[in-house]
Amino acid sequence: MIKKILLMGNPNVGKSAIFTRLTSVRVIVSNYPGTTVEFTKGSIRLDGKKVEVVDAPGTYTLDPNSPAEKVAANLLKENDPKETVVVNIVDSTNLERNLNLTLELLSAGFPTIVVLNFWDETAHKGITIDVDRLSELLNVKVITTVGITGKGIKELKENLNNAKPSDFNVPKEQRWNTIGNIIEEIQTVKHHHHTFLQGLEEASTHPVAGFPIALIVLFVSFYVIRFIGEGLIGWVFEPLFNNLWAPVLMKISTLLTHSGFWHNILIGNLVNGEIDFFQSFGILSTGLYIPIGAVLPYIFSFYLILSLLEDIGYLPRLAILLDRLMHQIGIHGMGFIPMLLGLGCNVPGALATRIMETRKERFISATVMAIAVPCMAQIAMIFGLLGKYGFRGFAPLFGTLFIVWLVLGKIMAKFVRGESPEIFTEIPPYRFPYFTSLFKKVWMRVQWFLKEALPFVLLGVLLVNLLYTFGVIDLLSRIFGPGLSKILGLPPTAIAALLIGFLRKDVAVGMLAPLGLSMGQLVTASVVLTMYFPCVATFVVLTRELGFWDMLKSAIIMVVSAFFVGWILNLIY
Amino acid sequence: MNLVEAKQHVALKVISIEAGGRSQRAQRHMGMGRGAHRMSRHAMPGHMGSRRGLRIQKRLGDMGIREGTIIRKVSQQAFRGPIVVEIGRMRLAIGPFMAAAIKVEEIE
Repeated sequence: MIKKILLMGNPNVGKSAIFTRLTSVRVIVSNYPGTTVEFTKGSIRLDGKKVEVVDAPGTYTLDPNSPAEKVAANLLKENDPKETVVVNIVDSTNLERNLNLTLELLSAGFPTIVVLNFWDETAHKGITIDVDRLSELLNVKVITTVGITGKGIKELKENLNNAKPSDFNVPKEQRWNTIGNIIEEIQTVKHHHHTFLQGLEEASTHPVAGFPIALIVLFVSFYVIRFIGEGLIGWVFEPLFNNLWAPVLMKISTLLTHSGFWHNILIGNLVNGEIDFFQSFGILSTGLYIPIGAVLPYIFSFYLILSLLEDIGYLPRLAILLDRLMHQIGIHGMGFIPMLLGLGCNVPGALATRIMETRKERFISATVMAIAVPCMAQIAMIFGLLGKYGFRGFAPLFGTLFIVWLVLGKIMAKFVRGESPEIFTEIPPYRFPYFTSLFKKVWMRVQWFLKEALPFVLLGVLLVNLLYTFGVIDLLSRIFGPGLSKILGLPPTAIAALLIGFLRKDVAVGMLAPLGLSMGQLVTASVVLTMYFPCVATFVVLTRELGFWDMLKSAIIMVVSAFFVGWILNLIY
Repeated sequence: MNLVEAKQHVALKVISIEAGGRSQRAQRHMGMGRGAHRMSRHAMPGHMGSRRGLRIQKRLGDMGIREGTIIRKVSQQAFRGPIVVEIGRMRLAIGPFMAAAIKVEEIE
């Protein structure tokens, strides 16, 4: 009786795509090894009964090398072969390397189905595989699929109930010889000419040409993100808020007689008798404007570009080029992926540190990410505030954060005990993205943002109002304000932003708007807000990933370095 | 000859993967962390192999690189950066320390 289906396979063979097809639970699918670091559960109906499907992180072996691989290996140990079917997903363009895990899985004694994914790519790569013979040799059902388009999924579903354990069991020492023999018998590879994509592949990891290509890719990405983000704000969201939503709010304001407790909470302060979406700070005004009007456009544009780069397969190549730089801070090139994801939101960034092998690397990458990488929500708000200064405003801000990242990382690389292994990663071929799955992924991430962020932002704005109304902020700024002014050169009321920053950094940056700060003060405040502590969502995930004591150490580093850097910036400005 | 020294774009056959470590100096030269130095003390010549060395063998083995495997070096980053090799249709980025442990010979 099947109760559970485990999708197992090497990294980047399309497990998540097949999982989505089987269960219609959506998970992030990208073209680089290590996209899935946790398992996701979904379910499927088989003969009218509900069966659980688990999308495991990719692994090359059941004898794991990293935490993400361990998650996969443990899944097998925890489940009963009598109730579990293993669906081993295999990259059919890389059969030989994939078969190692397949043989390990077969030895584990679970009923197994082998799925040859990326079947469409074998044809243009000149690979032919004798599927029936492979099935005979391994003594299990073998099915060919194209996960991203859904080809072959129906056949897979139909065969799940008939899956049987294989008696194929070779000792570890003979495994590769056996694989060699199998490949010899069932696979033929025709030599073929270099394609355009392969030419690009060569160029983008070329030790000289790779760097200008990377610079162009990054600059174009940055400008496109900014262009789409600003475009959406200027042409869509601002007009919507100003022309449609503001009049509604003014009516409510009139109903509430322009003042009083509820007016303050819902609408906030009127600036010159008008709603100012940045400064009013009511739940319905700024509370809605921050996540939807100011941040959402940037979340969308950032994830559009990130998803495109992920699906093409550019990120591991960037990791190779940046390997030397990343080693400066004691982690290898793939450590750049948590940083990049952290730029969208620190939560997935913190989770992505699992692709790193050692505790030292995970500690360093999580800490520098949480300290020096502002999330897109915060960046969008900073763009809103510092935008009018342009490059003069952004350069010192991001420059400072980069220096902090490098210096802190270098110090940690020296003093954190443990090993810094070298990069060791598979580089997937470039693939043309499938636009439907690309947009689904962007939509998933946007939805995730709305679901996770919107309640926190509204709560944050509510809290700000309550704290002001009950005089808590006055009290705090009297106690801590003078010290804050002395060290950071910020007005005493800026303490309120630091307080709310624990909850949401975008709201905290928004709170700087009514304070009338100079450019220097804005830069200092933004840097300190980025560095001093992660937001609560990131904090929870980081504590889970690092453990209590490492998180405590990390937090001390954050607070101390934030105020130190803030003090220096204050001296400069 | 090891993989770091080998020529690019020619077929190379893996002769052996050394499980022993390198000298401390060589490791520092390659920008290894503090832990690496400690580790290498166990890795004397003729020793069965350091923990690090054995792990290199295992990780390469998991990916299908072992004695007799035919590989091709695709690129090598400057200043002892990672090396990209091709094994069949797969491409793999390998750090210079690991690459130095892979002894290869050119084949026709």
